[in-house]
Amino acid sequence: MISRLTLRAVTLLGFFLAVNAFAVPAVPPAATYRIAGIVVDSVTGQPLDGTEVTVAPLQDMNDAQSLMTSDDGRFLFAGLAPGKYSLLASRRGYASQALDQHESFWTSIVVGPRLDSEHIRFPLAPSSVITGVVTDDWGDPVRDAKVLLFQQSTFDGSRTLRNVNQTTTDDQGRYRFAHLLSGTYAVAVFARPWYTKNASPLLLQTLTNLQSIASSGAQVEPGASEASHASVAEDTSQPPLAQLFDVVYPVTFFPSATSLADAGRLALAPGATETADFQLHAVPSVHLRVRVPVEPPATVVSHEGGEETATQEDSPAAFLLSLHIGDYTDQIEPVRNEIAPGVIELSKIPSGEVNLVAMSLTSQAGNEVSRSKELRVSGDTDIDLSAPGDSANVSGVVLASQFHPAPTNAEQASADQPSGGRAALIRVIEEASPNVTITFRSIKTGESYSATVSSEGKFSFAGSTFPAGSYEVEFPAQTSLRVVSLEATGATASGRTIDISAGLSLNLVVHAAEANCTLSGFALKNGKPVAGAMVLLVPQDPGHDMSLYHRDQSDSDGSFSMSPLFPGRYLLLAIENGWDLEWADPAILFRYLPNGQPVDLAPAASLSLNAKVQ
Amino acid sequence: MPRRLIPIILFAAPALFPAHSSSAQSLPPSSSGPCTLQGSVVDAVSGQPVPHALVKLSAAAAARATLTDSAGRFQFEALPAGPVTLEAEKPGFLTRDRFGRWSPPTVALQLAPDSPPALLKLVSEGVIFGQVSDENGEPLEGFTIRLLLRRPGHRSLTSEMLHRATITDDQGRFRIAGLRPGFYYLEARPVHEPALSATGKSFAPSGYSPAFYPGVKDIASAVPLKILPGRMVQATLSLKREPFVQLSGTVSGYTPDEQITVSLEDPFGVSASSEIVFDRTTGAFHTQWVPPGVYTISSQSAVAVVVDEGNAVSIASQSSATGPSGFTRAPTTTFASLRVNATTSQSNLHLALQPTIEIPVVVHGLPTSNDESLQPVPPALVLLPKEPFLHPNPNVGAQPISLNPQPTGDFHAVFAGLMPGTYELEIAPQQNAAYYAESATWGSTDLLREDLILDSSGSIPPIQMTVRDDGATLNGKVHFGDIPLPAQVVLLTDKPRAPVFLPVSSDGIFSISGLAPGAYRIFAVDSSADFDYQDPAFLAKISSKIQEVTLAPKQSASINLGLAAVGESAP
Repeated sequence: MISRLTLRAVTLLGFFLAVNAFAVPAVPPAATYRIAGIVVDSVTGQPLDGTEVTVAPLQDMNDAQSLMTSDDGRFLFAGLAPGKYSLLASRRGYASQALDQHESFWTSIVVGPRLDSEHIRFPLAPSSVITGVVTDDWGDPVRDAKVLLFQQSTFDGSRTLRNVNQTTTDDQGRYRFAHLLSGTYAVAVFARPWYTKNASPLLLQTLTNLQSIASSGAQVEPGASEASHASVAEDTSQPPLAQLFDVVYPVTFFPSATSLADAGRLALAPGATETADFQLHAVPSVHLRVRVPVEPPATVVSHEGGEETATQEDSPAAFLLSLHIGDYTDQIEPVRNEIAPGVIELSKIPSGEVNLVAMSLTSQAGNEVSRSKELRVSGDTDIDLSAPGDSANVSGVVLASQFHPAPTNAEQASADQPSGGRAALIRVIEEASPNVTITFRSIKTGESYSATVSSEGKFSFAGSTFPAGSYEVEFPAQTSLRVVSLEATGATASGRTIDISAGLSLNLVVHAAEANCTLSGFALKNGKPVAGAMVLLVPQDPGHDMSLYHRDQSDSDGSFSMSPLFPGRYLLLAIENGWDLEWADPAILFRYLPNGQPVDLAPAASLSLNAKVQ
Repeated sequence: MPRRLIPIILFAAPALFPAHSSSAQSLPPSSSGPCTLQGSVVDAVSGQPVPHALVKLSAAAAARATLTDSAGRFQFEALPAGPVTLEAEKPGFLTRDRFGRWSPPTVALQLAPDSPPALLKLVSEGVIFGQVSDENGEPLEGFTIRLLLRRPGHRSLTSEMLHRATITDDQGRFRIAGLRPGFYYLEARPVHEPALSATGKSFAPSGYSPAFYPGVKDIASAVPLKILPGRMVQATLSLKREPFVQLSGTVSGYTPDEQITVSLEDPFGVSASSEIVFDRTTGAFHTQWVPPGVYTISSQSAVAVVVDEGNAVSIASQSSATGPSGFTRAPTTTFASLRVNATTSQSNLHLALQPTIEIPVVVHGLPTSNDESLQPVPPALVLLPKEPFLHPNPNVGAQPISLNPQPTGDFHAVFAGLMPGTYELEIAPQQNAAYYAESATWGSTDLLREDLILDSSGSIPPIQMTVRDDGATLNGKVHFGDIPLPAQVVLLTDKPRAPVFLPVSSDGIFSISGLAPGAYRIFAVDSSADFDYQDPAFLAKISSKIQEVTLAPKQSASINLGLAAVGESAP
């Protein structure tokens, strides 16, 4: 079964394949090769029958072939062209995995002359299972609850929990994750109480308003006060009505924590089944009272039946509320209610780490300016996104090879467009690529201001202003673009930080680097290639920028390839059994550094270097 | 919007309450004073109270909601007297489905200070659960489980629309909840392609064919699972791994410039045309590796098929000649088909394309009108082949054709793309149909009583149909027992055509107009019943619930029916 592994592999290796530093040895057209070996139980060593073994060439993962092993556990694929192949195995009762898999890396099989690809031993670990039942306050099953599985990994060099799978509970509130590799896991549940799903915003509003009238003692007609007071019997098992629907289940981590840091860890042995049951408790919803700039109503002119009518339209503030649970993100649909001009109350929000993005629509077409705040929500919170900043407009340009200034002559630039070659290719990519967003993040308040960058590299925050302070400039959504340095007249810039003071009109030049380098080679120990080693590229001046680090796993012939990389100076390391290392810890990495090889990557360079395995 | 609602309620309040002096501290004991509504929610099958169910109330002035307590009771206070509607829901109980076919009973009442407690009954949903395993008892993972429903009186199965596909887990288990009462056929289908055997000695892959519960390959031997309210049914399927087969052969009888398509239908009637490859220069076709079973391979010359907004299918082409008698003719297409019982690979299959046949239709009796907006609604005509697989696109045979008005006052139409065989003419009553078929003849055959037998030789006379607009109207009410079940009303006539099926609303109401005058036997059945309505033994069993009604032209009749208990009556 080729599943998510395929997608990950394509993501990881897509760029690499286009610039593969390997010259495939010239072979006579008729020569083909084989991949053969045996699948065994990783615990007992017994050969495994009935296993589906799949090979696929790395450059075309859809061109897969599958075979089913018989009693001897052996597999044989013949007639293969030279190249690199992924090797996957899946079997009932066992974890599905690629050969020598570590997180999203594995050892590919390199096939070709003078290479041995016919004596592969593929250990498969017995499948582990995590299962459980989710119930509510009254012990009733919660169906369609979202269950998230996190696995402890060293993805960014430290032991973190990363989201590896999701599922939903069935009508009995039951969920099941199977085919898991042994390891350390955590489980979280995110659900809405079923009885709040049906409360239409209008109903909720009516109830809330009626309740607030009754409690505020507003003047009403005699005899009518009881009509406006929605009430229920004095049964203690029933909450007051207006609060009945304004409840949520907090994001719950097994066994009963509300944050990922406090989540219980489940240690899963190969072949083991662990149970993680949840009881969800409804709590009052968190309310976010967001103050937004009160925009003057826009005048809309419509032409109907030959007549022009001008109407005033309120421009609504658009909100995007997303919930972050570790590295998992989900959108929330809160109930919104304008409780005062410019003050919008959002409810039906679970407590947790919430990222609120408020987008105010700007006048320029295609230029989205947004102001966002990341906050951990544990109770009712006031958020002010309306405060006019102290500074004047901020605008500027990003300098990078992917941005091209527009042609200066007024006529349609089609005649000037390159018709062939690299420039034409860049134009095609530019037109097809999604917008780049530049973000200014306030170091003091954590609020972020984002704007889109045009294809010419220009950006502008026209119409919104920043509070004075220090800001870090970054491209949060782009993994292949990073800020190197800033240049501004009349403002202090150091590294990627700029100080914006009151009353300033800022024109900023952002020097950005693109990840367009490739580094490949062989992992060698005493001159002999080592398969399955962890190859790590460590930036010389990391500046806490994790995006500069890069990892790969050496393939069956010891080869590795890393791409796309940012230009810069690095140290290349290869560690034989390095998959459990918390390599972001300088103390741990320290002892490997002396044996690393320095690498200097110029922009768009493609280098070949062998790494000494430690 | 909500902010403006409040003033309305406040202003409306005086209208709801009598204008008494403001010094009154207690509410006057009049019949329109504020009322309290109590009630409880119970399980319709067991009678047990349902705790923590959501009860929704809508009245003229407000919408309210509450949850029942641990004893299933609820109470709303300070309500104005007058009409209110109550509805209850809870996960695990059937709710309104998005097609509106099934809705839980709502209680509508006139609220007064002395109203008795209300009782709301919830019907629990049905569940099918089970396991799929191989012949050694090992669980089979990754099989898609689909439920198919047979609508009474219909020959084909429709897939029950579930909100998500169910796939067997690593223990081979599956579970489908939220089921309405009915007869369900369960189909298990592997998701993955079969894998070749590892050593590559034999190149035929082996794998699992799709199967129906309890593990058979054809619908005739399949056992339906009966779901009654609140019933949980366990279904275990055992499947055997088999070597797959390949089918190959040739197609003949087409000219080099004709577009020919070749299609494959699997034993379950599901199109598998992605598994068949056709080379039109040589006429050769072959399938990929497919599970053994009975397949239908068919071929036809491809013509553009146009579906207009009235869902009528006509054949469009560049060259349509006008034949005799002023009919607009569609060019003939060619067709061939083969039914293959493939237990092993078969080659040298042969499809010889034959021209298809058309039957013109003339309908008399519909009024002509110069006003285009006043087109009469004619009945829908359908020719049902007795052997669907022998005909191109069996659904075309089952689709109504549109009738084109002519200046002479007759309406013309044509059934195109037919192959020799036996057919049944079905005249389906339309919503608000004002016309019924008084007679339908084809040569000397009375199509209201006999089948249409088409052979490839000889001239093809048109079908002559006469319709009248003096049809009768019938309406009525079906009385359910305690548990409302989806029901259908069936009308049988002495003319042995397919019975007329009428849907019944959740209140038991049904109606139809444009019925041919004559004698009818009418009864109401639970929609989950799966019996042969032509079977005299079945009719004898429910004879006490059958009503005989003779309808005169333009008569309007009203009847009450009790639900005929079919099969097991109690859950």
